[in-house]
Order: sequence, then structure tokens, then C-alpha cells
Amino acid sequence: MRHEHRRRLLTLILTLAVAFGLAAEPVTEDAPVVDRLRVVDQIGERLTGDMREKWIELRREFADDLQATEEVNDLYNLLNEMLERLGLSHHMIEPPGPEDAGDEMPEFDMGRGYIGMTVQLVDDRMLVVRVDSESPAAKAGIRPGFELVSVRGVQMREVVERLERHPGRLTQKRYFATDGVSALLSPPVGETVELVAVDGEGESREYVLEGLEAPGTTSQVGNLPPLTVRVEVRELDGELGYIHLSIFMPAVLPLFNSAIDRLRTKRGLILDLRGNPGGMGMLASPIAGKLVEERLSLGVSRMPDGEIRYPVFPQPAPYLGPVAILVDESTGSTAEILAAGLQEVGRALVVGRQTLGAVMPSMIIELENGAKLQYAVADFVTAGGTILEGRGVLPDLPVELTRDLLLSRGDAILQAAAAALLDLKATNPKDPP
Amino acid sequence: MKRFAIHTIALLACTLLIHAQNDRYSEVKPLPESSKVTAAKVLDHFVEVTGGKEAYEKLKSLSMEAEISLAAMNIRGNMHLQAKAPNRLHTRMEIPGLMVIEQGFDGETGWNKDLLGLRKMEGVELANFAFTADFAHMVNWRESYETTELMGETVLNDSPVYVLRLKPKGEASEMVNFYEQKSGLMVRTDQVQQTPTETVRVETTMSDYRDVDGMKAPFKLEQKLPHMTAVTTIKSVAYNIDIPDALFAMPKQ
Repeated sequence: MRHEHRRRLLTLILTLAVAFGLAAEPVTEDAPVVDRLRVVDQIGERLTGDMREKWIELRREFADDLQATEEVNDLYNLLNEMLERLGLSHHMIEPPGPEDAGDEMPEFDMGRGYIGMTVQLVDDRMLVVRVDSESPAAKAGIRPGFELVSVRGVQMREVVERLERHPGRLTQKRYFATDGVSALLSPPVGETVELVAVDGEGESREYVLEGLEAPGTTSQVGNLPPLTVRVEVRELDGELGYIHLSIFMPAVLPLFNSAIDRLRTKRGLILDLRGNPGGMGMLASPIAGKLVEERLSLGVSRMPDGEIRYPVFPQPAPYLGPVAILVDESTGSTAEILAAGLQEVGRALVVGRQTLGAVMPSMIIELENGAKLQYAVADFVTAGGTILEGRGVLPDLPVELTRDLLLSRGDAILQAAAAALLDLKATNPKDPP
Repeated sequence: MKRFAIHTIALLACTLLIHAQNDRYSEVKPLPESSKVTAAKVLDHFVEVTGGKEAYEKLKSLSMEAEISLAAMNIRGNMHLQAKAPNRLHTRMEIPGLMVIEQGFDGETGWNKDLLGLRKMEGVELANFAFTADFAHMVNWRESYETTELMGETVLNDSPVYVLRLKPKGEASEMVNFYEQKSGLMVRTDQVQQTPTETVRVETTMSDYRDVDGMKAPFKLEQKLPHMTAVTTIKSVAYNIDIPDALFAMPKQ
């Protein structure tokens, strides 16, 4: 499972706060700091094999720094730095305390307000790549291709410079950029966010956008925070069906099944997994089951004490026409498992940008002091033997975005997928695109 | 190529599991040669202390309701198990907001309904479920098991236990059971569960045995799975009640 909102906040804290010297209000709760090495050891207990050995080395290396921390934020930033050094996705920790860590960062005052625009790192610039129709961003005149200059006074140029120094892969940098800036762009509901963007004419403009309640429903399971589940369904030019899944939570399944019923007669189907960070791994199977007529496997996760498989059983009344799956650097985890599995058997054409490469199944547990630890419990290998961790899904039809392309065509990835599906002569699902 | 890859992965996983299984019981010591304890005596004693053969044979149906908790993940749910002689079984587990898992066996067909849809059980999964459904498998253990081996003894929770390795007839998975020497009650069972979605080793600890209509049943089960522990707390048990046969049949959708 992914811890979407908190992940965003932590990503922001880790990748941006240092760069801008944003002094978060110190939190001085004694107990969690006193227990600092106990927390380190509890994390170690959850790691296996080489990772546990590596963790012991990191404990040694960071021991002095850990002991020197006086504030909770410093301690957990260090712990997250140690987890990042493991080099695996799905490992993070957040301090015990208020439900929304944003409360601890009043300068940002981040929330769940929806303004309806997506930004990505394109050619070393933060560009608007999508704008939802009727959203506050659309109503304010913001369009794909606009270059974001600043959000709440934070200069995007500095974000990009900071990311250039980050040792991670390009897709990771892109993901951090989108994730961190998206958090900045999310004010509390009913409040506003100020931003500056350069429009299509090269004019720098200021915008003040109000954060609305995000469309969709809220879903909460176990230790996960409340997550917004959105399934957007529409027809494109009457010939194609379009479904966007925001995350894989149980509430998605009945909505997806209804969408398939509605779009069954369409010549092609576009399944948009851009911005989908994953969710419950087991949901990839029933979603895939609505798109196939024969049993198949999406892959397997191996653990020291067994394995978890991702079999796909054909579901009643599936959609069997051609399918294109849209992906980008914010497509992670379960979304990657689904995209890779259907791509591998030739059932779907994958269109867009290379995905995040973060597919390790994970759990979120509460440690003794109330801190929440997310840690991977297994690896993942596709049925064809491909390890997606650190690699991601490579699109069949890659679409490299540019500012000119976005300004002239809008959602270029969606358009590329639509054109590919409409170009197909055969609609026999056994001869996929 | 794909098949080869899958086969290799499966083989590797099995090898790891077997290796892990052997290491796991290294603390089990063989009984002294002078010991007169046998696997048969342990199993017969278990039947006796949990109610006796006559009580087992009078048992024609069972309904059990329980709460399930995965405390570390802050997930809770409930389960209802209904069973009927000679070998009918139905379970329904619901974790609100997350999933409903329904399973059944009508004497021939085993089925499973969950997020992945409705499917027939096959192979080891079917054999294990059918074995559980068999009302007589404990009292008629001589017919149920292909082999019974007294591995030895060890100590669990400060209490000496006998350790038995039992292989049911047919495809059902081998299990390793622990019987408390003092009470004769089974306090733990280990088994590798195999379904289309997983191959995992499950270690189930039983405790809080209570008398219900002359039979003893554990009211708390703690299942250790890889990286998580599920605790099942029995809320009610009722014997010999009416359960319609239709409950066990595989639904159409």
C-alpha cells in the first residue's frame, strides 16, 4: 500500500525543505526522541537478509547524528535518509503525532484542496501538463504548457536545481518534482494558493486559486490516511472510452466494473494510470480480469517464507477491444504491476513516460512509540521474469513532452493513445495493438 | 521462456520453504528410547480430552462466529463459519471497507469468492479445504492421515509439548502439530497454505480452550503469517443446529 498524502508531505520535506531553508516549527516531544535508537532497532527487525545487514551498518554510521537530534522532525528526517539509503522503494517512517503532518509545517499549510492541475518536470522546467475541465485552474485560464514559476513564494527554479543534485534516477527526480510541487499546490479546502506561471504568450501571470473538495470519494483502510478515490469515466469523440483510476482502493472496483459496462461497445479503451501511485496490490488482478478472456498471471512477489501471486481470472462480461494504458513517472506500484502485466501478454499498448519503478509490496505498521513505518515485505517479478523495481514500465509508445507540444496539443499522451487506437484496423483482442 | 521462469521461481520458493521448515524444528528433541509415547497415543488423547469419540460422533453441525484483528495494521473484521456432517463447510470473512471472502465446500466442489471473483478450488487448495471440512478427520485420524510421525518434544510457553508431523491422504498439505503434554490439547499447528494467490507458511497458536456442550474448543487463535499476525477471537459456538445444504453449494456469480 502507498501512503499517498503523508508520502507527499515527507517527500516535500526531504527534497525541498532543505533547499529553501524552510524552517519548520520545531516539534519538541521528548518521548519519541528519547526512544530514538529503539526506533532504529525496530525498523531493523522488519528488514531481512542483506537489507538488515545494511541497516546495521547505517545504524553505526548515523549513531552520533541520531543521538544528537533534539527535535522530532530532525530525527525522522534522518531515519528517512537512512531508509532511502537502502535504495528500495516503499520504505519510509513518519513521526507519531497529529494525523496531518502538515500541521507541523504552518508555513506551507498543506491540505487536500483540489485545484485541478498536474505539473511535471519537463526539460528542466515545471510545466502544467494537464488541467481538469471545470476545475479552479481551468476557470482561471491555466492551460497545459504553462510554466510554473513559483508556488507560495517557492521558486520552481530552485526545486529543479535541487533535484539535479539528487542522486536518484530521472524517473525518481520527475516523481519527486511532481509529488512535492503537487503538495504545495494543495491548500486546505476553502483556502487559496498563490502561484505565478508563464502563459503561452510568454507573459508571467499571478493566479490565486481556491482549493475545492476533491472530486471522488474518501476511502480509509487500516493505518492508511483517508485517501481520495476517483474514477473518471468519459467518451472520447464517441468512439473511444476513457477511464482514469486515481488509486487502487476497494471502492474503485465497482466503479470500474460499471465503467466497463458503459463503454463496452467502444472501439477502443484508454485506461489512464497517470498519477496513480498504486494502492492495494490485489486489486490489479480483478481490474485486469475485466479486460481478458483467458487466465493469466501479472507476476509474483517472493518472500523468505513464501510468495504472493497475482493471478488474473477472467471476470464476467469483460471488455475485449483494444486497450491503451497511459503512464508517467507518477505511475507506481500496483499501477505498474497492472500496466506491465497487460503489456507483457500483448493485451495493452502502454503509452506515455517511463513509470516510477517502485513495485515492492509493503505494509504500514505502528511502532511502539506511535511512529508509522512503511516497509517492503517482498520483491516483484513479472510473469515473464522482469524485475520492475528501479526500472519501471517502459512505454510501447513513448511520448516526450515539450512546452511547445503541450501548448499546441494539450494532453499529448492522451492524444497519442487515442490516435494509436483509432489507427487500428483489427479489434480482435487476440491481436492487440 | 515464461513457463521456464515461472517454474524456476516456484522451484526456488519451494526449496526455500523446505529449508526453512527443517531449520524451524531444530529445537525439537527426540523422546528417550524408554518413552512409551507414540503418535497414536497423542492423537487418541487429544480426541479424548476435547470431548471423546462419542461426542465427536454426535456432532452433526457447527456454527461459529468470530472477530478477526490484524492489530499492527489496524484492521478488524468478522468471520462466520458454518459446517455440517459429513463434510460441508462454508466460511465468510468480512473486513468492512476492504473485502469479503467467502469459501465453500459441498462435499465435491470447493469454491472461493473474493475481490478476484468466483472460482473453483483445485489441487492442494481444494484438498486442504476438503480435509478441514471432513467432520471425522480428527476422530478417525487413522483413516485420514497417510503418515503420522512423532518428531519428539519441545517447550512452548514454558510448557512441554509433543510435536507430530502429519500427512493427510491425497494432496492435502503436511502439518506439524504441537500437543501440550499436561493437558493433551493441541496448542499449535504449522502448515504451508497454497492457493492461486499465495504460498505461505502459517503458524497457528490455539489457546483459551473452553467447554461448549461437552466439547473443548479453542476460543483464541493467533495466526502468524509472513510479516503479519492475525488474531481470531471466537464469540460464539453452537452445535447441531439446522443449516441449509444450499449454503455450501457454489453460487452462480
